[in-house]
Amino acid sequence: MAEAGAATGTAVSPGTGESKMVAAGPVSLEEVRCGSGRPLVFLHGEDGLLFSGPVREALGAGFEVRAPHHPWWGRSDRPGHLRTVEDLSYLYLDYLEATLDEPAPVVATSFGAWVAAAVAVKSTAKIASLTLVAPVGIKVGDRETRDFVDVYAAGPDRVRAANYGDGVRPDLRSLAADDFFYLAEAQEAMARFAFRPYLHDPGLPYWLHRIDVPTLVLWGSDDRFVRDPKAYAAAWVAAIGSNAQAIELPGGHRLEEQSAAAVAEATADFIGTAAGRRETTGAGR
Amino acid sequence: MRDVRNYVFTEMAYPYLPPDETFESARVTLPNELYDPVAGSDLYHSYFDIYRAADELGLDVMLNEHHSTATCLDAAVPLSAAIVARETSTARILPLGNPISNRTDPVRVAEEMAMVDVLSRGRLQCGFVRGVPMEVSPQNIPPIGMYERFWEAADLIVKAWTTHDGPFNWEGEHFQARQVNIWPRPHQQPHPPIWVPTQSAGTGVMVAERNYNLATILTGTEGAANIFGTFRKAALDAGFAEPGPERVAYSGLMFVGGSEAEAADGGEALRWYLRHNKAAPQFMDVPGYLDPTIRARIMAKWAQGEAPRSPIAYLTEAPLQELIDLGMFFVGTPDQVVEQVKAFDRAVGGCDNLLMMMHTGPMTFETTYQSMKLCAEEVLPRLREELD
Repeated sequence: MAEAGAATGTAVSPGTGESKMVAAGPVSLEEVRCGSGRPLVFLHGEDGLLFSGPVREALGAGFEVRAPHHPWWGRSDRPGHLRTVEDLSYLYLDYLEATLDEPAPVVATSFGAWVAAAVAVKSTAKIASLTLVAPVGIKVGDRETRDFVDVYAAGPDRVRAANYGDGVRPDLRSLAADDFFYLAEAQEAMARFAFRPYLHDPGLPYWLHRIDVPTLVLWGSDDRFVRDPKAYAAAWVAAIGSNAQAIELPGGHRLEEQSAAAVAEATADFIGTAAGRRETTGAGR
Repeated sequence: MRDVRNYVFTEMAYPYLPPDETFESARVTLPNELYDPVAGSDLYHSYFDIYRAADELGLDVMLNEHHSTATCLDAAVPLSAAIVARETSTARILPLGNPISNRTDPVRVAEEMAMVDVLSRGRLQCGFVRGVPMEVSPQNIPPIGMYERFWEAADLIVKAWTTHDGPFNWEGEHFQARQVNIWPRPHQQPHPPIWVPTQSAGTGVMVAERNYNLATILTGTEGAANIFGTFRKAALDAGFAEPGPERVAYSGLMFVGGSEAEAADGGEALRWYLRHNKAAPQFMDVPGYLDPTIRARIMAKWAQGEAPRSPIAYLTEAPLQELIDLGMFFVGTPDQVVEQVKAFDRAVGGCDNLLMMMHTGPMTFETTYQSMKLCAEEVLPRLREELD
C-alpha cells in the first residue's frame, strides 16, 4: 500500500528543546521548552509534539516556548480520571496557575485549540491572547453532517490526505520505532478524549462568548480535514465575538507544520497588537 | 466417561456477495442494497432449521452477533437465543456472546438472558464477549477502557441475577443503574454458567480469577494449550479448584463426511469463512482497542508501504491438511475426526466443549445436516467413551 504523499514528504524534525516534568496540581506533565523571551504556551494537537518542532522553534525566536505534553501523551501522567476535554481544561488551569507569573500568549493547534478554548471560557487570568490554529472542538454541521473526516473510518492514507492536502507532509519512513510508539499512544489518547462526540463538545459554543482576550483563528486554505474550513473558522469567530478574528494561510489542517514560519509570523504580529488591545480594554479575567 | 459436547455454530453469513475485489470491506461500509431481504428470509429459516436439527440430533447450539456486516446476520444474540430456546428441547444454548463492553445497559442483558434461561428451562450457557474491533464504529462505543467496562458489566449482571430480595442500586465507574430488580430471574441457580472467549492468556487469568468458564476461538492446538494451561494455573493461584475439561471450550471448524472425498469437499466449503471476511484495515487497527506496541509495528509497516495483513490470512490458501494439523479444522470421516479431536484433547489437557462452526457461507442445510448427523451418531459417542 503505497503512501501517496511519501514522495513529497519531509524528514521529521522533532525540534530542539529541554524536556522536564512540571507539576499541574497533582498531575505531572512533560514540558518541552525552547527559545528565549517572555513565556508562550504551546498546546499541541493530535500527534503531540512529534511534528511541531519547526513552528515551536520559529515562535522561539521571540518567546520562551513552553510545550507540555497533554496527559496520556509522551511522558506526562496518565490519570484515569481525566476522560474529557473538560477535565483537561481544569488541569491546564492548574498548569497555567502553577507555571506563569503573568498572563502569557497561548498558541494551540487542532485538538490543542479545543483544549485552549475550554480553558479560556473558564478563566483568562493567565492567558494574554489565544492563537487557535486549525481548531476543532465545536460542531457547525447538522446532525447528519460531520465537520471532520472520521479518522476511525477513513483509513490512514485518506486521513493523511485530509490533514495535509496537496502540501508537504512528514515522511513517516524517517520515523524511529519509538516515534511510531509515541504516535500509537497519541492516537489512543485521542480516542480517549475525542471519540464520542467526535472532536467536539456540544456545549462549548455556548460559552465561547466568555473568551475575553484577543483571539486569532488561523485556518488553512487547503484544509481537507474540516468540511468547510472557512465557514468553520467564521463560526469560531462569531461564537467568541468581537475579541476574535480569522486569518487564512496557505496550507492544510496541519497548518503549523506546513506553514510554520507564516503561523509564527502571524502569531507574533497578532501578539504585538493584542498586547495593546488588552491593556486598553482591561480584558482578562 | 467424559461429557463431550459439540455446540453447532453458523455465523449466519449472507453469502450472495459480489467478488471481494469489488468492495473495500464486508464489514461496516458494505451498502445493504446488496442484501436481498427475500433471500434473507430463506437464509434465516435455513439457519434456524440447522439449530433445530442440531437439537434433534442431541447436539448443542452456539450463537454470536455482529453488526453492519454481511459476515453475520445475527443482529442480537438475545433474539436468536430466544428463538432457539423456543424451538429446541434439550440443546444447551450458548450465546458467545453478549457484547457487554458495547451494551449500554448491563441490567437489560441480565434480564434478557434470564428470560432465555427460563424459557429454555435452564439450558442457557451465557457468554460475555468484549467484541471485535470492527464493532467499534457500528456501536459508536469508545475503544478505550473496554475491559474495564466488560468486567464491571459482568459484575453488575451477576449481581442482578443473584439478588432476590428487592432492588439494589449501582453507581459504578462505567455503569449506573437504579432500582435493579430483574423479572424474570434465571432458571439455573445461582445463575447460568458464564463463558468468556479470549485469544489471550492474560485474559484467561482474569476469567480464572472470577471462576468463570473459558473459551478460545481458532487459536489452534498450540494456542489453546497455552491459554487453557494459564487458565488452570490461574484458577489454582486464585484459590479455586483446578478447572476440569468441562470448564473450557474450543471453537474451530468441523465437517464429518461419509467418505474422505466427501469430507474434503466439506472442508473446502468451510474455508468460505476464512476467505470471505474482508475488513478494511482501519476497522481492525483501532486505536485504544489494540495494544499500542502492536499498533506501532503496524504503522511502521504501513509507512514502508506494507499493508497490514490478518495473522491468519495465510490460512485462506493453506492446504486442508495443514489446517487440520494446526487444530483449526476438524475434517474427515468419523474415524478421522475422532482421532483429530482426541489428539487435540490430549495436547490441550482436556476440553469437553467443542464449539464447531459446521456451516459457512453457501453450504446447504442438507450438507450441513449430514455432517452434524455423523458427528452426533459416530463421533461424539466414541469421544465420550474413549477420552480419558
